[in-house]
Amino acid sequence: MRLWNAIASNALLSLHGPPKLMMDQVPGDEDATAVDLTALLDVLSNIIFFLMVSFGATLVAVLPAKVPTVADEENPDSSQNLGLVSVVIKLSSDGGVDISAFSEDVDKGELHQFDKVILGDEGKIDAEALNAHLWGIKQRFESSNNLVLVPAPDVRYEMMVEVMDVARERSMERGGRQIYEQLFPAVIVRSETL
Amino acid sequence: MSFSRPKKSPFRTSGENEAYGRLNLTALLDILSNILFFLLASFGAQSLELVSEETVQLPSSTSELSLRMSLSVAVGLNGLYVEDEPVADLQNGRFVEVVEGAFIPSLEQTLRRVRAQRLARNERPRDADEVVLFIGDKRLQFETIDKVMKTCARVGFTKFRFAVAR
Repeated sequence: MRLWNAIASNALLSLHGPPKLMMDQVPGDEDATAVDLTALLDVLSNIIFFLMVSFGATLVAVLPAKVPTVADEENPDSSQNLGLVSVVIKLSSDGGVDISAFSEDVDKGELHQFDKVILGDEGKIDAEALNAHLWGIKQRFESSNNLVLVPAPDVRYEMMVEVMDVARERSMERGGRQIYEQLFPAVIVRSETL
Repeated sequence: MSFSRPKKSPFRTSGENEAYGRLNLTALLDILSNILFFLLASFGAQSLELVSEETVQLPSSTSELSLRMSLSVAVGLNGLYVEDEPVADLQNGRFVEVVEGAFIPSLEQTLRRVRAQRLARNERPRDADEVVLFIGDKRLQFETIDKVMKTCARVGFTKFRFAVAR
């Protein structure tokens, strides 16, 4: 009851300024109305904020990808692609990956040294080995960004995304700092049968 | 029996207002407006309504590319949707309708219509008109995804953004 009196009198104060003593109020009762809720409401609003952050919607990001298209034959400008390779990863549902590199102007003998098969580990990809091998290719062909991902028909979407994550960047420590080197972020997804 | 006056409250102000508790809301509103600003900045552009398919479980990823809205194609285990419009039925992630070859006729038809509507609204095609936001369930097999992507590519959407959970 005293709290309601406080709220009501506060509203009156804002409308008409300080009123005279109310009829049901007796001298000496004034301390009961001196309730300062500001601090309490501050704390409550902060708690509500953290609650919303905890239970809010899932944060969504995106991964860019393309499908293969027919090249524009009118402008076959291959001079810009000199020395560039595309890494091809064939992915099977048991987590195994078959890595190879492809280029039109790099010696095939040189490209073959980057061929590698990494077996899956109980239905999961060996992310560390895959990332390390891609880093080796990236160090040799620094300007190359393209990855052609060729999943088998029964590969789950989750595994495709995992491979794209592993092939996108390499985390390493340099000078006491954690840095992320770009690997092959430009992904083209295609099936075994075009 | 003696009546003593209660001690003076530390919150009470001097003057004639001292009998009435007065709420100072200035600090509260300052904090609330700050919180509201950061809340809007954080969630405003990143919320994605998956109303089209409640059962879509996004795969998790370390990608930090923020979401930009474009034509959305959502594929769950039980249905395929274009911009929340149901297009085809799936059962356990496989198409119920007979799909001839690698293309889904109902999806192709819908995409052509939506693409024409979008292009009619703009003088020139924008980036968002060329890219498909692919919202796929993480349990889907590539066989299904491949058909969707190839059908999109046939209509002219060759670029995709895979929606993933951070």
